[in-house]
Amino acid sequence: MKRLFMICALLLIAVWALGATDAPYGKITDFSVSDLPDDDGSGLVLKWTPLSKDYRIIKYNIYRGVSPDSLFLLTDLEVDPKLGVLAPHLYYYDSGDQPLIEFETSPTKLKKESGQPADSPLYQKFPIQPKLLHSLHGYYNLLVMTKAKNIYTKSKRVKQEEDTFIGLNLVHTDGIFAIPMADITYYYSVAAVNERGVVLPAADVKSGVPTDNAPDATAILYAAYIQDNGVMNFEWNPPIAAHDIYLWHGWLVPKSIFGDSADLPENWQHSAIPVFTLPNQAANAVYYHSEPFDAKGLDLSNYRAVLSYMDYDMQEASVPSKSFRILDSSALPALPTWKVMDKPNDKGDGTFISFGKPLAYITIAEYKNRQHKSIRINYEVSKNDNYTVDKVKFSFSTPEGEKIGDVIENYVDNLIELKLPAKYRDPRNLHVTISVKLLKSKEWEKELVTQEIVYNEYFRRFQPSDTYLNGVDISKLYYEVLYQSKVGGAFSGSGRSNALSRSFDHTVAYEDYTFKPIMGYDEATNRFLLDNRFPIALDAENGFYFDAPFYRDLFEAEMKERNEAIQELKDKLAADPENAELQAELAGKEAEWEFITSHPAYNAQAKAKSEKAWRKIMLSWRDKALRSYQYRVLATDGKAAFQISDTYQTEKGESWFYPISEWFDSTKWMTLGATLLMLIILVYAIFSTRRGNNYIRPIAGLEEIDNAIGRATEMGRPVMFVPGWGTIGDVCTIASLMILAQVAKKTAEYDTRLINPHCDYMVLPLAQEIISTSYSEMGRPDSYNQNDIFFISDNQFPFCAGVNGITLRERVATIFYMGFFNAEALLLTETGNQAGSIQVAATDAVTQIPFFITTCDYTLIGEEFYAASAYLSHDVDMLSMLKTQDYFKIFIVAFILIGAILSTLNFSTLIHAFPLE
Amino acid sequence: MKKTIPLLMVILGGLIFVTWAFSPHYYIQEVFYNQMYIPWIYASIGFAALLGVLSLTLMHTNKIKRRAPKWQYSYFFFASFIATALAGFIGGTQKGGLFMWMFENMQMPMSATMFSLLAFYMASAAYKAFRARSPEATVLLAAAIVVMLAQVPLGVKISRHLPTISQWILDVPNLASKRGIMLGVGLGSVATSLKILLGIERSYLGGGD
Repeated sequence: MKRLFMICALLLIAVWALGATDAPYGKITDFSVSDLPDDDGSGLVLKWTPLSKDYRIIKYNIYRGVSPDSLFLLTDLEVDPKLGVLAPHLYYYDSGDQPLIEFETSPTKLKKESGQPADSPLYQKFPIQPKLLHSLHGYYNLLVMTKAKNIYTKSKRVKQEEDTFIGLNLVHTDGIFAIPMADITYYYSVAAVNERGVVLPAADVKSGVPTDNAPDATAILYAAYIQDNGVMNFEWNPPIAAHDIYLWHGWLVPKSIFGDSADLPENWQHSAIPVFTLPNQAANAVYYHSEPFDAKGLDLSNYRAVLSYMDYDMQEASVPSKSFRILDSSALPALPTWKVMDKPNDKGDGTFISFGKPLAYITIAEYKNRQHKSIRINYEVSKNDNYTVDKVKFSFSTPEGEKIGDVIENYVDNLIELKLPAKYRDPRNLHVTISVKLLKSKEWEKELVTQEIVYNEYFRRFQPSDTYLNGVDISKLYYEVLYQSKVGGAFSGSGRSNALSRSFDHTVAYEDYTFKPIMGYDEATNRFLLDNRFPIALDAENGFYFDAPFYRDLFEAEMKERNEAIQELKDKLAADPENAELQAELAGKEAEWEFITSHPAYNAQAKAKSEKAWRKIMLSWRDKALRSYQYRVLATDGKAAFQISDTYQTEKGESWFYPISEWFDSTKWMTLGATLLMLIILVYAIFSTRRGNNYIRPIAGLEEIDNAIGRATEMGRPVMFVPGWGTIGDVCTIASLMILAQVAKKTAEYDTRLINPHCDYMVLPLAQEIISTSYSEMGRPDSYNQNDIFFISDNQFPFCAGVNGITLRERVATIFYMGFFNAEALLLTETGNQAGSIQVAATDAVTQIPFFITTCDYTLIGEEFYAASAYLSHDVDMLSMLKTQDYFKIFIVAFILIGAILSTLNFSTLIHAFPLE
Repeated sequence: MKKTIPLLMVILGGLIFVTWAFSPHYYIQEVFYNQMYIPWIYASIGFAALLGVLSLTLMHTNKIKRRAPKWQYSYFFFASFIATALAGFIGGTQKGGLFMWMFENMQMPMSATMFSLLAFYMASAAYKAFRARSPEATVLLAAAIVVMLAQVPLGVKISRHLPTISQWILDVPNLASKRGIMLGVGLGSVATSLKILLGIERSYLGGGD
């Protein structure tokens, strides 16, 4: 008894211990929230240990709130339920980049998260409730994401006290973003969701406070002094949170203050020489700045460049340069020959920057055979849409300069073969000079690319070493296009590209979605309030800005106020003519007035007859301002030896480029010409056919349709027509329906049952109508049975199973497979074959034709399928179309033959005349 | 009038799409196509799906009413249709739900079964195709042997030239005939489109004229 009591007690203790130590099933226990380092005070880091893969977790839900009693689902991290998470911890960085509300998925009412205890603070997504959202003001920076046209067409004017806003209803938004603010406490929790969709118990709520941190000292700086120009060049990659940088400062610091350390000592500014101060106006991948600098009396070899930067909270970081060189301007990389133009054949959302003519260069090569008698060489062409490369010439020589041979590539397919003369077999190094010949040019281009290709024993491949263009090493030369819009105020970079690149496409997208800060909420209209101003123009040099309110009367009132202010200043100046401060203020106001009133937008808006017309005019000028760009190009070695060109100007002196939307794609002239030619042939064929010339060659498959249906009639079994699983948008489905009309007429004539299964519910009603009309036309409307034309499944194999079932159950005598087919083709036809059905197939799916030929009695190949309806109907107009096809085919064959002969003779003009898809 | 108006609509629609093919303009590509046409297609898909469901339901109802052959299977259709719809509407279609469970454990294996039958049918089709009954069929048989052997390591063991020959067969005679067919198909589809666009072909309107 005593022993039993002991055992029971031990068991109870064990159960209690297990219960006491184990957290609820699936609860995350080591969840923590901390500040995101080096940021602008809008980020927090969430960290937790993921559950083991035994829990079969599919995602981790992340909840956020501004009080611990109500946390809303913010986003989730998806994980693999089978593998689990291999990393020891999971992190989520919350910088407000996930929408708080998504119009399509957020609920309209507050909804508690499922699977949680009754007192749980967790809710599903934040509901679409404007008033509730408004309560978050002051806790988050709220941004609305909406289509720009919603603001222009669906907003309403809302006045609050003295201010006028654009009022936007929440239903006209696509999402609301809530960006955390510095020094405010946020609460988070995480809950795992398993494969069954059950939300497991959430982690205990933890809080965190984002802090505006000092920027991180991770910028990478290179500097160079161009001594003959007296210019200091700084080139740097910014730190991580570059958008938070307010000012950049460049310095020179004596090397002596570093001592043995690579880091900057404290108070280094005391002995530093300031070089420049630059506001951070554009977010770039790489920053470049040139500043005139007088180095007289300074031995620059004793100095090191330093970059310091300050965020909007006046916190600083600084980094010394990786290198500081003293150069002559002759050592700077040369700027390329470049040109800016509107991108051709686009919808008006691109500008094209050309960096000279195309180049070819070798990428890799290998011996083609064991005897090393020849080398297979892969090459690439740096293309430029302005030019078409016709031929490429490769001249090979030994490193000592002995010529090995030339290879001229007449068809640019990125692969050549160099046959090695016996004397030069098994080389380890090759020197190659590459030139290109452009279409319509009689001479080889003078831009020569030279490369050394070296055999790598380990990889058993030839690899190119440095690449030279006209003797200049371009392996470490980069180009970058810089651009600024009319309201941008500063040039920003497109990102570096290798100097082998010959063009750059600048995408100037149309305005689609826009993000606007929410300024407030108007309860009366239930609308969120947005800023009502939009930019029109900027005079960066003088600092004048032309922006207008969204409403005409406000704009007119503003202009009136400006005018009155000028008059007032003039009156004051008349009373005190020597007051320099008043003079300067008046000059500034007058110049600004002049800038605005002389702008074409100002003159255009004055002519508007309605508020709507006025806004349309102003928005079109806004679009022109936002989407007009000036361009510069920069060449750099990546280490501060760079040159920036002047702003590009056309021959007419125009420097602003606004993309133009073209009405016709000039690459399709040949297609249009071919279509017109076909129409001309069609007119001829119609006349010819109507005169009685209507012979067409017999097509066995179509000749047999009558017999096949007759057989079914004799056997008293149904005919089945399978239109494949193409959609109504596919030409082959339409061609199939045309044949169906003819087949239906025959079955109506013979009074044979026609079964017509479908996998596309859009095709179904059309087929029903076609068959019904065919039966009516043949005087047999009573024989038409709509239930025999039905939908089976839009899924490939269930459809296939359904058709096969019908074939076997109904013992179908004749089956027509006409349309688009995939893998199910063979399954269908083999079943039909085994059932002893006569099968006639027609498809344009090239991969399925062999299966149909093998298993069907008759197969219509390629264009025979499209000719079937004309063939069967014997309609004169349709026959003429069939003849047109054949006449046109003569042209195609002629072009193929001529093209093949000309290409063999190395004349490629004809080939290049056709567009390539 | 019953056919003239639809015909005019088809011709007008066709001309719009011809313009769409030739013009990259913003109004055509963006305003018409992306902002109007595509959303309209998405909106109409729902109604078309309803049509499919109605057709299927009607067919099986009639089958049961008429006691058509194997009419009992129609009950399976209704049972599975209702069960799947309810599982989707009530439990959602996400992973872990009943709907997805049925999809993964019922429909997928059944589809896979159907697909796996293809291997056997392919063997029987290959047997039919590769019988050397004529010189042409013998050439086909020889080409097929070379191409198939080149796909397996044994082929390279037999001859290291086999993959090259196989590739040549695929790249030259095979591709040439494929391109010939594709050329015909392309021309045929252009001709069919033109026939519809010019109003020559009207049978898709539900009749021959």
